[in-house]
Amino acid sequence: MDIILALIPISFILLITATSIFLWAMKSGQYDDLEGPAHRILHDDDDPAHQAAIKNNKDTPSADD
Amino acid sequence: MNCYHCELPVLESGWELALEGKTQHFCCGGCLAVAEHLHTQGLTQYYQIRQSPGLKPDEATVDEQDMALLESRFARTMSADESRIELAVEGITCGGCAWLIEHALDRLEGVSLSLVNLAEHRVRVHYQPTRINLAQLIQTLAEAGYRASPWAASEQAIAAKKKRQSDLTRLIIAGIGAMQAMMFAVALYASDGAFIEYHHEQLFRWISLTVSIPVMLYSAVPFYRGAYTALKARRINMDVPVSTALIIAWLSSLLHVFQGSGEVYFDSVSMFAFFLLAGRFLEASMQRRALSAGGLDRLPLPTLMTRVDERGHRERLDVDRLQVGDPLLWQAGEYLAVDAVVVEGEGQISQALLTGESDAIAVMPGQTVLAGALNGATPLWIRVTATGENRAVAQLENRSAQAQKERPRALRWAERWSGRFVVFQLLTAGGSYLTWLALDPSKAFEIGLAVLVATCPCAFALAAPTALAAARAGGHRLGMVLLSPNALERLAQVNRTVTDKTGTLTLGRPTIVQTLCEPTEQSFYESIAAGLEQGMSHPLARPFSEFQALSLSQVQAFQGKGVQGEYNGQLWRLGSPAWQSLEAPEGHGWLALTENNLLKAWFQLSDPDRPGLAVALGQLPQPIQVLSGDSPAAVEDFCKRHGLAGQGGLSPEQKLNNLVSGDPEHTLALGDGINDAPLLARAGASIALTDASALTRAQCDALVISQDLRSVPQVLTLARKTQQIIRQNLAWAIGYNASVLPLAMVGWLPAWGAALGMSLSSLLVVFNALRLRNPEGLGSWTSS
Repeated sequence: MDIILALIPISFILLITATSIFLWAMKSGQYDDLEGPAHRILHDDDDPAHQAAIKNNKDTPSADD
Repeated sequence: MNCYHCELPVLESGWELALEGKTQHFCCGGCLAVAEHLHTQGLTQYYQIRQSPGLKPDEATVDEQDMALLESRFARTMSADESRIELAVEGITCGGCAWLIEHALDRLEGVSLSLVNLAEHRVRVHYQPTRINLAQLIQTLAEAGYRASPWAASEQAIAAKKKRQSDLTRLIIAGIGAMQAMMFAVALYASDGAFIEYHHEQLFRWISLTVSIPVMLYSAVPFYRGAYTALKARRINMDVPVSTALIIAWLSSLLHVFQGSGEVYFDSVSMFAFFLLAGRFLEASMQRRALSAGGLDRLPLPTLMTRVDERGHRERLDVDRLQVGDPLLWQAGEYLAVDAVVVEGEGQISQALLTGESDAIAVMPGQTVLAGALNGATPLWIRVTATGENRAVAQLENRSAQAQKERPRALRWAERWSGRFVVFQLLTAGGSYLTWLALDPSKAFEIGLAVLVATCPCAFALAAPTALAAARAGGHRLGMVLLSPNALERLAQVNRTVTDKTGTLTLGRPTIVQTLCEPTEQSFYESIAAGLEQGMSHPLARPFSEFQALSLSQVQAFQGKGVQGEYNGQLWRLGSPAWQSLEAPEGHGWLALTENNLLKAWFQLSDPDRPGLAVALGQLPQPIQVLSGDSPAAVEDFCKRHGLAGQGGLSPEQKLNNLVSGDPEHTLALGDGINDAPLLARAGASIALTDASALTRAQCDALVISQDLRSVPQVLTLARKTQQIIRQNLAWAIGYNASVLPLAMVGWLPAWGAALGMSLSSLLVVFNALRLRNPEGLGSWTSS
C-alpha cells in the first residue's frame, strides 16, 4: 500500500501540469479561432513559386545599391 | 464567361491576362490587377486552394495622414521596436483567403507575424513601426484584393472577456478540486470497513484538505464577496448562507484533520462550490448573450468606409470623421458602420447581425439601411443619416439596456422572497443545531450543517433570472428586442389582438401590380410617371423609381391628389381618379396618367402582404381586429381576403377609443411603430414591427425586426413559455426545499447528500430555463 505515497504526488504533478497548460492555452487565445487552423494545415507553405518570388523581391532592392 | 478572380460574369471584354500560359478573362481592371499582383508574388496557389470566389476589389485611395492617425489609435506597442495591430478584413471567405493574407503580409519587410482569425474575420499583425506603417499594410491587402480597416475591441468587451475567463477558471479549478476531493472521500468512506490503515486514512484527510484549498481560497471568492457586500449594505442574500455553510464546514473539517478524528466534508464543500458556480456560469453566459443581442461591441463594424466626392474620387476614410449627409459607396460584402439611406442602386443586404434573421432583404433607393447590415453582391450608393451614438443600433441598445436595468416584477418578487427565505433558513439551521445539542450533542453539528445546506434557496434564486435571460437570448433569434422590463409577462397575458394594416400586416412598400395602356407606349408612360414622381417622398412614388425617368418641367405636387408637370409643352398629371374626374376600373389602388386631361394609362398599386401572414393570423390571439387609417374600401378588401374584421379611415384617436372600449389590459397591439404610437403605448402589450427605420420612436414592449409575421406568434409563445418555466422552476425549488427540510432536521440526510441534492436542484432549474434559448423548438400556441 505504501506505493500510494509515490502515486499520489505523481497524480498531483500531472494534475497541476494539465491545469496550468489549459489555463495558459485559454489566456493566450488558443481558443479564439476554432476554424482557421483546420484549413491552415492543408496549405503548403513551401510553394516553390512563392519562395522564388520572395527571393526575387528580397534581391531586387539590394541590386539597386 | 466569368471573371477569373471574382467569378462574376464578364460584361465588357478586353480585360485579359496570360497566367501560366493560359489566357484568363476578367470583369474589370481591379480583378485583373489583383490576379497579376498575386502572380508576380508567386501566390497563384490561392486560386487552387480557395473554396469561394474573391471579392471584387475597389480602387479607393488611402489617405496617409488619416492612416497615421488611426495607427496611433489602434496600434499597441509590444516592445521598443515592435507593435501589434488588429485589422478587420472584409472578403475573408475560406481557408484560401487566410493563406493568401498571411503570405502577402509575411513577405513584407518589417512584419514579424501575421495571423488570420478565420472565425472573426480579423488579422493580427506584429510589425516594426520604423520599417512599415499601417497605410502600407492596408495597401498590401488591397493589392491582394481585400479591404481592411484597423479594429479594436471596446473596453467593455475586453472587461467582459476577462470576467468570463476568470469565471471559467474558477469553475474549472472548483471542478478539478471537487473531483479529487471526492476520489479521496470514497476511500475514506470505504475505510469504515477498517481495511485502510490509520496512517493512510490520515494521509487521505490531509490530501483532501490540500485539494480543497484552491477551491475555498480561489473558486469560492465570488460567494464571500457577494455576502460581504450584502452584509455591508445591511441586506441578506443567497451568498450569506452559502458562504456560511462553506466556511463552517471547511473549518470544522480542518479542525478534525488536526485532531486526527471526526468527519471531514472537503468533498461536499468542493462539490457544493462547483455546482453552484456551474449554475451561475450558465446564467451569466445567458445574460451575456442577451445583453449583446443588440450590442455594437459584438458587431465587426469596419473603421474605414469609402466616401465619394462630387468628382467621383473615392477615398477610404475614418468612420469617426464621417458626417451626416456624406455620400458613401457601400461596397459589396462590406459591413455598414453608420446609418444611411440608399441613394442609388438596388441589391440584397443581410441584417443577420442586427436581427438574427438570416434571409437577405432587398433594398432600393429611398430605403434606410442601418449600421451592422452587410451588403450583398452589388455596391450601393448611400448617404449618411446618423453616426456614433445617434445610430439606431446604439439608441436601441441604450433603451434595451435601460429596460434591463429596471428589474421585471417576477425578478423583484423572487429576490424579495429569497431574502426572506434566507433568514428563515439561518434560523432553522441554528434552531436544529441547538435542539440536537440538547438531544444528542454528537450529532448536532452535522445536522445543523445539513439543514443549512439543504434549505439553501439557490434554485429559488436562480429560477426567474435564468429563465428571463434565456428568453431574451431566444427572442433575439426571432428578431425580437425587448424594450420594457415586464414585456414578457404582459405578452403572455393577451387574449385579443388589434392591429394596424399598412406596414404591419403588409410590407408598407407599394408595388405596381397592373398597368393598363397602349402596349407600345407603356415604357414612355412609365418614364413620364417616373419623371413626375421623381424626388417625391410619398410612399406611392417609390415604385415608379424603378423606371427610367424623363425630365419634366414645372412639377407640382397636390397633397392627397397627385402630381402634375410639363413635358414638351404638354400638361401631364398622375394621381387619383377622383382628382381628374375619371371613373376607375374595378378594384382599388388605381392611379391615372393623363396628358392634357386625356386618359393615357392606369397604374394599379398594391401593398404586398408580409411573408407568413396567413399562418400568423391563424396563431395570433383571436379575435383579431384591423384598425387602419387607410381608405375604408382598401381595408374592407384586405379584410375580406383574409377573413378578418376591420375598420378603415380611422384617426389615431379613433383607434385609441376603439382599443379602450375593449379590454385594453389584455390586448395585444401590433403596429409599425410610427403612426400607431398612442395605440401601442396604451395597450396591455404591444409589438412594433418595423423595418428598423423607426426603431427608437416606438413606444412598445417589444420590437420585431424580422420581416416574417410568423415571428409575432412565436414571440407570444416564447413569452407564455417563459412564464410557465418560471412557475415550474419556482414550484420545483420550493417543493424540493420543503421536502428535504424535515429529512435534514431529523438527521436522515447527511451533509454530503444535502449538498448534492441542493446542487443538482439548482442545475435542474438552470437547464429547464435553457430550453427557452431555442424558441423554434417550443411548438406553437393557439389561444383558447
